[in-house]
Formats: sequence, structure tokens, C-alpha cells
Amino acid sequence: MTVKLEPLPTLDPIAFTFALIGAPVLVAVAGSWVALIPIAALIFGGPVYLILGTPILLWMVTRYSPKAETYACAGFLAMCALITGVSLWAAVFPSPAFNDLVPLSVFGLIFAPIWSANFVVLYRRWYRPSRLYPVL
Amino acid sequence: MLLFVYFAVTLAALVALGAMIHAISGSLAQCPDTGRAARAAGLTITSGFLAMGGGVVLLIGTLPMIEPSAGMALFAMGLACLILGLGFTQAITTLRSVVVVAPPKAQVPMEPILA
Repeated sequence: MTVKLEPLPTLDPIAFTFALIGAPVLVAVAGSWVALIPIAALIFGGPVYLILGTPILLWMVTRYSPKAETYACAGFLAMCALITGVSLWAAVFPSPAFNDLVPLSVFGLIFAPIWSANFVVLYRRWYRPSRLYPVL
Repeated sequence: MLLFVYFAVTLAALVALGAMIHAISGSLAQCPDTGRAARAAGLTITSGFLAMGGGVVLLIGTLPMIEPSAGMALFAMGLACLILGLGFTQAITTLRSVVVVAPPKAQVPMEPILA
């Protein structure tokens, strides 16, 4: 299979939605033998991924070439920014709610790159610009 | 909590600088003459930078663990970013020098014309 590495200029919403939801689910299914950690990551990190990841991936998907490593780096950096913000907030305004939340977010540093790379692989696979134009 | 800030910031800097070295070596690899040297050197230098930078992050990470205070976290972050930046400039200098001194392609001697 030849892999096209040009940026995909037009957003394909169907491929985007399915890849966005399918990427973590696929990781959870494929990695469920690792002490159920990917499934727990899906439960704990899924909302964060949908809230923070959706706008970032929407922004990236038409601007960067669909390479897995690019998106893995982006996911890692976004997770680093999130952890920085949350732990700064927790350091300034201490609360017992953060004592479990912040150490748990370290798992995000592992799963954000995997989910983002998996997302772009699925998006590139399901991308079909022909469905965006009316057939005359 | 400040330990998490330290690790998030320095790991983000490490990954961003490594990706930047990779991107720069990728654009240097477009050159038809010295592109192969740039590509090989880019892989080597990026791996070395990531390994040494990871070591720096881990080593300096012991400082805010030993004394968990805001001042020590800031000091460790500054030191790590400084060292990572120095490594980055060193990596880019090495990459450019590889491209500059890369020998030209071997000239294939033309076959003698036997009249």
C-alpha cells in the first residue's frame, strides 16, 4: 500500500468522526491484554481526549501532512501543556481532588501519542474526498 | 505538583527540539548532492539528542525531588531548558557541518573511446 504524505486539504467529517472515536477504542481493544490499562485509559482519558483533542486534531488535520509521528508529537505536546496547566493550578490552589488527578494524568503522556497516531492512520485510511463533492 | 510541572515542561521541550532537529534534517535532505549525508546524520543526531536530553531531564529531575519547593522547581526547569537548548545548537551545528564537508558524488570515469 502506497502511503500518500501530502497534507489532506479538505476536511472529511465522516472520516474524522469515525477516526476520532475509533482510535482510542481500537487501542483499548487491541491492548486490553495489558492488565486492562488501555480500557481504564479509555474511561479516564476519553473525555479529556474528546474535549481537548477534537479541536486540536480538527486544526491539525488540514495543515500538517498525515504522518503518524507528527501527530504523536502533537499529542504528546498537548498533553504536556495540559499537565503543566493542571499542576500549576493545583500548586497555586491546592485541593485534595488534584492528589489523584494529576498523577493519573501521567498515563496521558503514554496514551495521547498512541491515540493521536492511531487517529491519523485511521483518518488517512478512511479519507475519501470524493464524497465531499456532489456527483453530477 | 511542581514536579509534574517540571517534567511536563522539560519533556515538552525535549520532544519539540527533537522534532525540530528531525524537521531541519528533513529539509536539508532535499539537497540532491548532500541529501543522503544529511538524512543519515539527522537520524544519528536526533537519536543522540533524545537520549542525552532524556538523561538531562532525569538527572536534573532529582533536584526538585530532593527539595520540593517552587524555587528549586524553577531552577531545575531553567537549567534543563538551558542544557537542552545548548544541545540543540550543538546538534544543528553538527548537522550543518556534515552537509558542508560532505564529499561530492564520485565521478564515474568515462570509458575510453577505442578508435
